[in-house]
Amino acid sequence: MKKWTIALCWILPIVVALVSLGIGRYTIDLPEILKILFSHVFPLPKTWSNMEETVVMNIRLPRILLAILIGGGLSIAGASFQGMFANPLVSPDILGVSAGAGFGASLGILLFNTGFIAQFFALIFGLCAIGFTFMIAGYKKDSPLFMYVLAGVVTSALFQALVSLTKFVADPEDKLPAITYFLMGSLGTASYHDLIIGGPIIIIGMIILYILRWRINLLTLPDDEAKSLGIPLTRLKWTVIFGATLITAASVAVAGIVGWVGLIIPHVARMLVGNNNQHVLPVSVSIGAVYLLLIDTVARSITATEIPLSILTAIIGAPFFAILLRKTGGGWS
Amino acid sequence: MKIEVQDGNYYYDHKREQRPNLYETDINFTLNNGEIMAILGPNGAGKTTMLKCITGLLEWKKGQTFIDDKPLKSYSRKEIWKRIGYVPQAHKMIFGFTIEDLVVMGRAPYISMLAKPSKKDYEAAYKSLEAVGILHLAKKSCNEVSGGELQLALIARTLVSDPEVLILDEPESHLDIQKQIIILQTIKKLSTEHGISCIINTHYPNHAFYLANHVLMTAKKKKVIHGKVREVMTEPQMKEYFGIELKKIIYEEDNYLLETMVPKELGQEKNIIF
Repeated sequence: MKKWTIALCWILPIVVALVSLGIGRYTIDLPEILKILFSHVFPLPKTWSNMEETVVMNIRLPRILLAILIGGGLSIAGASFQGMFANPLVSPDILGVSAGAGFGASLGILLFNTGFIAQFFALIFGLCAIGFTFMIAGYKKDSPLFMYVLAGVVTSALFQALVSLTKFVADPEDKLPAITYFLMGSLGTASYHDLIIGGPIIIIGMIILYILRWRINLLTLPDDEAKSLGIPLTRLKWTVIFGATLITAASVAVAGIVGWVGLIIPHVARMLVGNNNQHVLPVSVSIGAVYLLLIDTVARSITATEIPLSILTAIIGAPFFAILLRKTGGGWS
Repeated sequence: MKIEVQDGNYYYDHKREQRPNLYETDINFTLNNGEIMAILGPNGAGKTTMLKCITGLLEWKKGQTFIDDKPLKSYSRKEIWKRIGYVPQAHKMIFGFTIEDLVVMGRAPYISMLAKPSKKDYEAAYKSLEAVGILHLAKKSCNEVSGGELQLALIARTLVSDPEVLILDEPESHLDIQKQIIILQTIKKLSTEHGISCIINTHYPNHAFYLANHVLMTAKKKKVIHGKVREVMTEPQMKEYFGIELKKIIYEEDNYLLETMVPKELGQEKNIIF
């Protein structure tokens, strides 16, 4: 990968984040934002109001950091899965993690209202879903990958039915809308608390996948071929699944189900840098981070009430992706 | 490197009732340095399965493989795949890697779990691309090149790990005649110049005549026979194993000899041809 591509991958999210800090119903100039940020590192004379400081530091900054982490995380998870399953239609929720985590969160909201317990439940049930998929597909050492996909479909279907069940019994006055909005994805209530819960897990998942980025090329090959390259195939597959699961479950726990990002961003990355996952994965992180950050900025500034993320990722993403697809013919062959 | 199979046999778990032994008699052979063995047999005889068992991709249900007189299992996975190269049939890929990215994958046994290929690994990839004569295609996508070129790239991928044995599963089967010749010549060159032994599955008798030092022939409900090419591939035995009459044809010109076998059935009455 060329040096300037790597530089751009770092610079772009930072620039977009700085701009996004100033955008919203309460606009703040870029110099002010920089001053507020740097005042926490260097002693600077205070030329801004307390209001501005609160908006930047306590409301927008955690939200922006989460958008970057979730956007980047879901994209690297999606790219890893597309590589591993050798299938361009796969997204991070293919093994049922999102459905499981979504059910966990719904159950948490139903029983204990929103908050810490719902997030905890989301993580636990996300992992349960993967366990369930493993029980169906992975009991034999050499299960072919399509078995995992089928098992994931079964798991998703089961947990989606359970989500419907929680909705069905939920109080339609307050809990039903809370569950429904949560499942559409939102960073509207993002706080440092969310960042502390979700951030480390997402980062660990991203590091695992980033380290294995070249090995994912090998997983794209048919099983026997991959084995003949001397790699511990089953262990490698499960490490990738583990990393992607951490990211997906933690994302759902703090932001609900954010669709589309993990499916389309890896394609955009491949159109830019080719099919070698060694490059596709890091570039996906950068583009995914920028994409979700832009979407979330639109979500919180375009109307008085927040628009759920999954609606926007698809409404903005679909035409954009359609144009790319027509221009490049997919670009993955 | 010497590769030896003693009393090897196999069955598929779900077909154990109907076919408790995939091979009518146990498989025994020894392959020495630089020798080429061809495996012949009709479809469904278990040729690909045999290759997988020999290399440990599948486990023999009976008997075992020895490498340099030590059981295959006593070697680590990395050790085995540094020394054995497995060449699958060329196939299209969903994501088109460039040829160089495809070939450098062969270095995997040398690259630590947490690392990615270094400059040295790419140099090894270029060297083996040169050895099979397609260095100029390094930057092309593997879905853009022809089937023959992709097959050569797959051979190159095994060469980057400096193997001592190549296992080739019908490498020439869906290629045009010219590409077949290139593949065969490449294999022969690797065995004579680099001392690499080869085990190759093939459907073509004349390819076995051209390449092989010895032949292993198998078919459903037929004993496994192993021996020198001319001893195994005789007209009566070919008829027995393939269920069709094959005629041996020898073409000689000065110092030059070509042997092949063709199915008699393909002949026609003379007055139809003229």
